[in-house]
Amino acid sequence: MSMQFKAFILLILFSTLGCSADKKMNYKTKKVFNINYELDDTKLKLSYKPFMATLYYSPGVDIIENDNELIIIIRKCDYDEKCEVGIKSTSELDPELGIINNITINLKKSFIASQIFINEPNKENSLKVLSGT
Amino acid sequence: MSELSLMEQLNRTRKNHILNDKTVTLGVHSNSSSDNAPFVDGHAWISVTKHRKTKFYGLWPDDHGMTKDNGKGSDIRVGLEGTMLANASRYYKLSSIQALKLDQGLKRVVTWRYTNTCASWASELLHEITGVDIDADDWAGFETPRELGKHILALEKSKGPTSKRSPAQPALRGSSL
Repeated sequence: MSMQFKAFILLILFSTLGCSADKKMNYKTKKVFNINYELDDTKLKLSYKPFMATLYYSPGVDIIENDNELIIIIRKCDYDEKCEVGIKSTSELDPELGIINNITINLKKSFIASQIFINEPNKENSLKVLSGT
Repeated sequence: MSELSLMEQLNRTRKNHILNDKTVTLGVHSNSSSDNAPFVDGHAWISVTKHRKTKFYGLWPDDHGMTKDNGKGSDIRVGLEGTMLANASRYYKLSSIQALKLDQGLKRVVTWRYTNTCASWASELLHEITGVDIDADDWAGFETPRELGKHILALEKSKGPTSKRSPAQPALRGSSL
């Protein structure tokens, strides 16, 4: 099959899949690995490794901060797009884990790990459970 | 004192054993392996274990949000994958000549394209080095991690499971290897 034909097919495929920069995507919780955190009264440092994909990456997170809970949404972006996110992540190359994402969230009020959730506020998604602490 | 000396001796023996271990193991990996996995999702890569240390190599585009653009340099990037995230892996023990060919193959300048994906590269490099063909061809002839992963799992089932410590021995091809 010629390269040009493949490229044409791929163009159609991407347009039908609706991969575009204006549609916000996020990683399902089960697709986020190696979650670790450091938490104090004013700051949350979070590291995570999203499901690795050549055509996607995580540019960072958006947060929803309520009275009793903090919800962190791990954003997903097409590999070559610069998606807008509330808090941008930085990358770090860990000798064991490979590339991981780091974010720092400045907290308006203090939370404990069981009040912080990834994507959805339920017990299984709490930072305490997901990080295994 | 004599106990410490014994410990030192054991450590030296262990280090020498590792240094003398000339085994090179090539692993091929995918984190996507089911029919339900999306066509465009996932990643495929290889691992190389020498002297009991493992390095990971994958093909990533320059303009990927997670990589640094190295211009005309090779898109083979080292260490991004890390351990533990593959759900399909198969390992091969390399001969010294195959190990040499692998070193040469990893130094080549390779460019990621939609028609030369991470899965294309991993599958073709494995074939070039060992003669083993693990198909990655998906819909319309595109090579994808999910298809490579499916075929890795099928081989692990039909030919027997492999691991880093118990790799398969690829049959040697003619004198060209």
